[in-house]
Amino acid sequence: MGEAQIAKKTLLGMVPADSPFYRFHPVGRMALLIFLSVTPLFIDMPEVNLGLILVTLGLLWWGRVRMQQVRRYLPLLVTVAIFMFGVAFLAPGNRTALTPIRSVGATFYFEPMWWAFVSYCRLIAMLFGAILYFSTNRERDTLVALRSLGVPFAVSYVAALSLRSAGMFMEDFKTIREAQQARGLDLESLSVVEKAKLYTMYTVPLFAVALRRADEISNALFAKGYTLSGRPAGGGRRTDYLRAQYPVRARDWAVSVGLVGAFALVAALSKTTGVFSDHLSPLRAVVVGMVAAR
Amino acid sequence: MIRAERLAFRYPDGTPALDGVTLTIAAGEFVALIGQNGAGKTTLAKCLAGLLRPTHGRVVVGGIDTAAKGVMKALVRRIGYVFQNPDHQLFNTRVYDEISYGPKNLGVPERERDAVVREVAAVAGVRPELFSEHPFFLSKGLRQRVAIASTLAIRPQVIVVDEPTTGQDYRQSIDVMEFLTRLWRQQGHTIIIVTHEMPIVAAYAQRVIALCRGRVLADGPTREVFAQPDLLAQTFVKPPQVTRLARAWAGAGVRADALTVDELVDEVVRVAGGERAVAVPRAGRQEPPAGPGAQADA
Repeated sequence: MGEAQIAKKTLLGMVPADSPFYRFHPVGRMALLIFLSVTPLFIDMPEVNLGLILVTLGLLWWGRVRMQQVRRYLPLLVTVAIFMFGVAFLAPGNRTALTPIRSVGATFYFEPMWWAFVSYCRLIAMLFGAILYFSTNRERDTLVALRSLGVPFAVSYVAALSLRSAGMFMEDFKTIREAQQARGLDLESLSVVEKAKLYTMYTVPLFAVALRRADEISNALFAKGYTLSGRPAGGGRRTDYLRAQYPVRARDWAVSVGLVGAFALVAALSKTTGVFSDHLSPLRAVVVGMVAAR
Repeated sequence: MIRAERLAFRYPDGTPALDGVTLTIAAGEFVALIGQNGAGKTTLAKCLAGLLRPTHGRVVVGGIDTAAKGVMKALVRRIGYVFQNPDHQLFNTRVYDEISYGPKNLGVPERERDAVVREVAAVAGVRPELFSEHPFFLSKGLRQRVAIASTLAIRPQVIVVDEPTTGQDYRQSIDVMEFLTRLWRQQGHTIIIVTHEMPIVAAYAQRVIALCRGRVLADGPTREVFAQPDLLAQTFVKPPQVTRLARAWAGAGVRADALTVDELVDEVVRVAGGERAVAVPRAGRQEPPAGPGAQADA
């Protein structure tokens, strides 16, 4: 007992304190977030986005994030898929201009279904990028990254406080579930509809606690003399101890510039050459061939 | 009633919270879990209530292994848990619905439920005029009472209360403790409190379990545990000031283990060979135990 904590609490779970990600400065990790989460916006070719998803999964494994923690997002992936493909099926657009595919007693249209697939791959790639970042970084890391990049005090502080509140919100959620369990609620015996109703019930304590806490935090900030400008209320300049405590080394700058540069390159290539267009996708060519053969 | 065997618990971040705790709590005891922050008090209480599954070892409450599957409903009838912050356990928009939530989950018929709600509300001091109020607009003391009433409505044999007096003034603290004492003496409940308030422990608890770094440091009758200040210092707990004063006066013939001001005054009066000038109404420990806890306090 009394031994050092061996994991760090991140927004989405826990990560070992000796995770390889912690060899990099928070700025580098934020650059990775930008690369993995924003780059897919410029990529239509699903193979590339699927590749990015694989890279992200590899990074999660390398970063020693428990895969059980990642598995929790499977229902989300399924829900997004149902929603996106459902919309493409139910509201395909101008049917006369589309290629019909008759299968399992229904008529699908190739173009909207393909576009749903392209968009789904892009969205999931972005989502996994965010999962990687929030599974391996604490709210403090985000604050350090923003301050190191010279983001104005008010913006970085509000961003960090918002992330902290989200973490606390999830802690409260866990406690509230425990409290419901303590009052005889058997989650396993509930139907999906009953479980959905339960979420409306959570909002009562969750928001009440969050509002009370927000009020307390604002009073605490006021009491500590914080101002939006970041300057002490009495004038002068506040010591930026975060920058002093977490200096960005040359290696961290190299990693960050490399990642942001890679993102800029992809964005530029996408806009100027269309190299990431889905029309160049080998998978699309195969599917088009299969549709034509029917 | 409750048996913990080599109980260990480690949080998902790897922080060890309990390390080989073995203890038994008999029916009708009034127990206080004490220790510094991070000693494992709340974790132990949650493990006893089945809210946390032990990493190693096991907890058996009324014959039920808390880690077994599908036992939650049976378990909550045996042991109820009142959380430190009442706001975490008030989910409904009306006080009445809040108190009846537990019985509803356990399938108690509506008519019976109404009787239970009215009965426990009366016991907890929640007036029927408040039944249609939103719990969040009540004072903290009342919210705490609603939370206790909501737990009582399930009729558990054991009630665990985490920090019953936190954030409450002296009067409210005494009210809550007297209320728990009534449940213990008159209704035969087993009470387990988690607290940092040593005067409260001295005045009300029959048995003290002191934890230090996830292990049991001391376990015994309150008087005996508070008679070991050097041991308690390991978990940064000091006996109440009155006990320390009595200890300092022990050389003058005053018994060294007085737990309350009343006890110490009686001792001083006895040693001085005089009489008390003023009769003081006595709370907590001084009332003769009439309930199931009586034998154990002897």
